Amino acid sequence: MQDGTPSLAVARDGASVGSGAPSGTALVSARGLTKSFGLLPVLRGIDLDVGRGEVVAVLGPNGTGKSTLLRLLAGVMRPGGGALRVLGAELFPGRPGPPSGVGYLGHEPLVYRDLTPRENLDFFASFLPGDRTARVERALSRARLEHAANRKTHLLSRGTLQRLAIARATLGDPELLLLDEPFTGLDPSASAHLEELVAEARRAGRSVLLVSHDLDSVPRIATRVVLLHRGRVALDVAPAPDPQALATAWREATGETPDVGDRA
Amino acid sequence: MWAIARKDLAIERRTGEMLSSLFLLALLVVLVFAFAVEPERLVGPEIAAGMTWATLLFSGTLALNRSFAIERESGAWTALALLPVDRGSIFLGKMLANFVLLGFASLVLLPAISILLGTHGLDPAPLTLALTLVLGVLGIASIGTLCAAIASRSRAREVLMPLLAFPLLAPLLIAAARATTGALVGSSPSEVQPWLAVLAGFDMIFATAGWLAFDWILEE
Repeated sequence: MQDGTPSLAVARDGASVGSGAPSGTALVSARGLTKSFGLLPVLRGIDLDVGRGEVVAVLGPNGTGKSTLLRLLAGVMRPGGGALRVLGAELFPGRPGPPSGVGYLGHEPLVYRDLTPRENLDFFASFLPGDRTARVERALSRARLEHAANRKTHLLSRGTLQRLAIARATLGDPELLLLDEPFTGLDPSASAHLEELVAEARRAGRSVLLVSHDLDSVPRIATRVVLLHRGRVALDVAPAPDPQALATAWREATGETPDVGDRA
Repeated sequence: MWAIARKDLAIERRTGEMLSSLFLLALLVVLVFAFAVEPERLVGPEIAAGMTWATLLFSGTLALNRSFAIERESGAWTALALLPVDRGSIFLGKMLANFVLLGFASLVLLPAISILLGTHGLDPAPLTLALTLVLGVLGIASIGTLCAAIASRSRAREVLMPLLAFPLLAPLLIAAARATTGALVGSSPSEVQPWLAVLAGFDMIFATAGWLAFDWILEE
């Protein structure tokens, strides 16, 4: 949904929920997306459009497929069924590999522990167009990592490592940023900085999908909330309601108390 | 491809994990030979060639098991999958780094083995020897990298890797040992051409297989 057009759309049992993003401008368009691990279905038919400039918080109880959805969008995992277009390109089948223009932050930092932060970023920047050194220095500065740039990565604190992971994910100034529990391990100052980065991305017309368990911070960061429940979209609402309204909507949509536990 | 190889070599230069395990294993294999066979029988080009390749094959293959540990231990496997490049080129980069490391190891091991065995009766043909080494080491690197990539997704990777690699490497071992025997008695490349052709064929088949299959190996 476009910012500034408040509406509340609730879907149950995988029914399609229009995000409001016109399909022509949608950076993400998923139709009937499914994924199973062995015999265990995780996603049971996700329909989702994400428009330019949207910051979508993906919420849901543990094991409901939030991280799986992000990994499918990042192109590191093949869906079991359905159609998926990211940045206008059909991901699967026929086009294996990640779409360019997508940044992904996972549960792990996805960096090399035996290289320094600067070497790590230099390595990942070598696959991107433009001036490599300038890109690396800009990423280090943006993540406030200059002081730790030449330290061994495996010696970094959890929070600094998360900053490096964020720097890696945003290195290519991606059009679509996928953040899986990005605030984990960050101190309040770093969290505020990350919120500013997300806001900056939004202002620049980029889109962000972020998995979060923190209902309190969601209205501050996100323009829209998508709640997954049992592998389906149970709630799709924009703009993001305040925490109390969100908790109520969650209960109404799923019949369960909001689960703000660990990873899903 | 070059960036991947450069990164792997930089990490190896820093940690030395793969080369140190390779040299340690090579030393063990050589010592086992020395203890198992009477010293007076450890002479001649066939023994030197066989011992060289058996040592390289065992120590190299087991060391290559660490090739993807860099990604596994850092959780950077997904980072490879996220690179906006053809995934086959990631395989070729890893293979290139392994080729350089194994090539360096063979340059150290070859003189060491010749010192241990002596050079009595040997008249090496440098060009044939170099060609055999390059093609043989490339074969170990391509098969080893492919098998290490497949095994790295399994919990039983330490056992799976040699189980996958050794049967595939057997024909390469035979061809490389025969070509090296010829090289050590002064044969020209054309005289050992059938064995060199077998090695080149192996290299092409497994480098291509890895290049094509890596997309599926990398995918979750």
